[in-house]
Amino acid sequence: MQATGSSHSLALRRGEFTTLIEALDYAAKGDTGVNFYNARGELYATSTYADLQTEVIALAHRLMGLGLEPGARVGLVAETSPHFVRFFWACQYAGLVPVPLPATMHIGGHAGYVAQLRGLIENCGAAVAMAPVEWMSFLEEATSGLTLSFVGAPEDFDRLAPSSATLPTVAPDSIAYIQYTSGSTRFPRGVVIDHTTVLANINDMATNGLKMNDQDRFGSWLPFYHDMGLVAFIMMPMATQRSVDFLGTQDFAMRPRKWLEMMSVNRTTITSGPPFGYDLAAMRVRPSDAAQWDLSALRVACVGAEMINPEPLQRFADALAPSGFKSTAFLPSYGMAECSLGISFAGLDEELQIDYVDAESMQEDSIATPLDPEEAQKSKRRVARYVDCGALLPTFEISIRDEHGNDLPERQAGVIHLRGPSVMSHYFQEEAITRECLSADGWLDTGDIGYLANGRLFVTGRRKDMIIIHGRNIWPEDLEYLAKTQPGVNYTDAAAFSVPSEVDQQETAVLVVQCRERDQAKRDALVKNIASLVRSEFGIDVVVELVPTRTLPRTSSGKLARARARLDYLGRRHAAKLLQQQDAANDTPVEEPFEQVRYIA
Amino acid sequence: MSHDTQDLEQEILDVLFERLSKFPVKSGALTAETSLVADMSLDSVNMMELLMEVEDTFDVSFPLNMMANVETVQNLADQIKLLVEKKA
Repeated sequence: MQATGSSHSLALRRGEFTTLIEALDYAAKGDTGVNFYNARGELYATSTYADLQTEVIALAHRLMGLGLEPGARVGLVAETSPHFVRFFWACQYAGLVPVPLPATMHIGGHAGYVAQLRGLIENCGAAVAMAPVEWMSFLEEATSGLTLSFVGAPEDFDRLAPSSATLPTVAPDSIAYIQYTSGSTRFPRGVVIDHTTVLANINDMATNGLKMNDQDRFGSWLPFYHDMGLVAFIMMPMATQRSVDFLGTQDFAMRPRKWLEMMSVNRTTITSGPPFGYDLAAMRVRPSDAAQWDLSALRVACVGAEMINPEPLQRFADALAPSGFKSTAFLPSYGMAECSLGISFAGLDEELQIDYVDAESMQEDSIATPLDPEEAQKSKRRVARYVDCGALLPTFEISIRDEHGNDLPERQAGVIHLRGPSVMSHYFQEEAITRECLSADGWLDTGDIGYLANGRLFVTGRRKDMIIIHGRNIWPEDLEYLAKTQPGVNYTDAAAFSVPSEVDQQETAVLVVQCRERDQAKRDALVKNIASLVRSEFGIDVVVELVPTRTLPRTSSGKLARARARLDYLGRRHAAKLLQQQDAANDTPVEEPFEQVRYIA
Repeated sequence: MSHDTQDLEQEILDVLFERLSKFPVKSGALTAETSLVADMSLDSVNMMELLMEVEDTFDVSFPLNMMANVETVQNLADQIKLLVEKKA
């Protein structure tokens, strides 16, 4: 088996199409395509866009045979496999709306996963659902009692009788897909993206963000149910007629070196991931591998999806320098599913740019006053550092606003508002939530905090209260809900957020729970139960802190004030540390850590 | 239970105990009945690392969906044993 080539005679078009169908029809005239690698790093499936198109049209007719309404939702358990790609494109040709569903399993996570699947299937009102054979039992359980037209594995769909009708004409303003921004079962937000919308973003990213050429080749381990995996690695390579190589997310997590090996073999030019992914890979690289690999072709290693420090990226660059990896390939970016994907990109072939500002003026007045780190050390002032997320893609308008909606000048941090052709039309069947963040004149309130300086965007605070761990979005409400399932924990007793870990540079989730229980054994059991629920549902470690009632701060309208709860927690942690140091009779001053640098995408 | 099966099970448990010994157990000692979910603080990255070591040691491939009903060290050992026996 041989992977599809990187170049062909077909002229490069950077997403200039009216629908995704038109894009695949064009890509099918060339020789490029999609390639899948297994856990051992072997190529196990490959298909040119031409062959894919033939298969996709056949499957589209079988889907049409189900007699669904135009625009009916098709839930797809998005394991990294050729099936997902085939179904995703077949839905487009059949005029149906694919909805990627998570394919992720945590230890002991059976019940949590089934509940998550069911919640998403119900939310999008799926008429049809597909899961690869190994995931079918979960899908069957998740859809039991629901009225779907058809639920099956890919092989079951392949046995359906095809419709003899001609393929429908799909309008550019019809829905291309629904992307859930987090796997939340209780608070799902289905971002609705039209053909025109996603193609506008792909065109802008390909032309201005990545300046793509006709030798580019994509490589990724990102999950297909994640916006970056779906838009940047399934739709974008196809809409720019490029070959793409995939390694499963689980295989990457277990053996990150396979990702690098795959990119070396194929002379990949474009990849992407959260900082955590680069760090994981750097930890596992052996000097003997690095010397064997050739990553000199890699010109874009996009970085997004979570906050980071530059240090892990530096570790990756150092470890892979023998492979010819250049640190200028790192491309910090800012983006979100609500804007299809990309919003801003740093300059290509540039080293990371960091803005050092006065931490106090940032905290007190939200003003990013430049402060030289050496100067700061002399004058004992605290420095905050933020990474340059680059210039906005040209199709976006930006406005940084204060809490009253007034425009703020340069170097003043406020809520990032965006407008442009890549912005979603709405959250699926969530009118009230849509109205809260999307104005009638098209401005999206991202909830993220940032400032502009010299035309570059610096993101300083994350989306509303979103907890982002290892690049995954986790809603605090979901963690709080789990705490509230415990006896004695009432509706107003829990607050979840994340803080920089004390041991490494990762984020850690924290759940502060108000507790009336005095019996130590029962308190211990409560902490253990909550942590284990969180672990089985989300696969993350959580710090559970029990506090007396009326500790959690509330807003004047009685809503939980998570940001303040977080600051209070950090205050308690800091005080405890000081106490510990005093106990240790250590009279050196406590070192103030740098403010965390954030890239968000 | 044949002697061989018992040996295999013990071998798997020994490997798991050895690999898990670097993680603190919240209460008591590490035993076959220790809950990986409730008693230990392994996140998904630690878990992946553990599974990789298991795969390399026993030359099996561990499908992700097998994790769904694993709760204790013993559950995990049982799943690994199934894979090893299937391979033989």
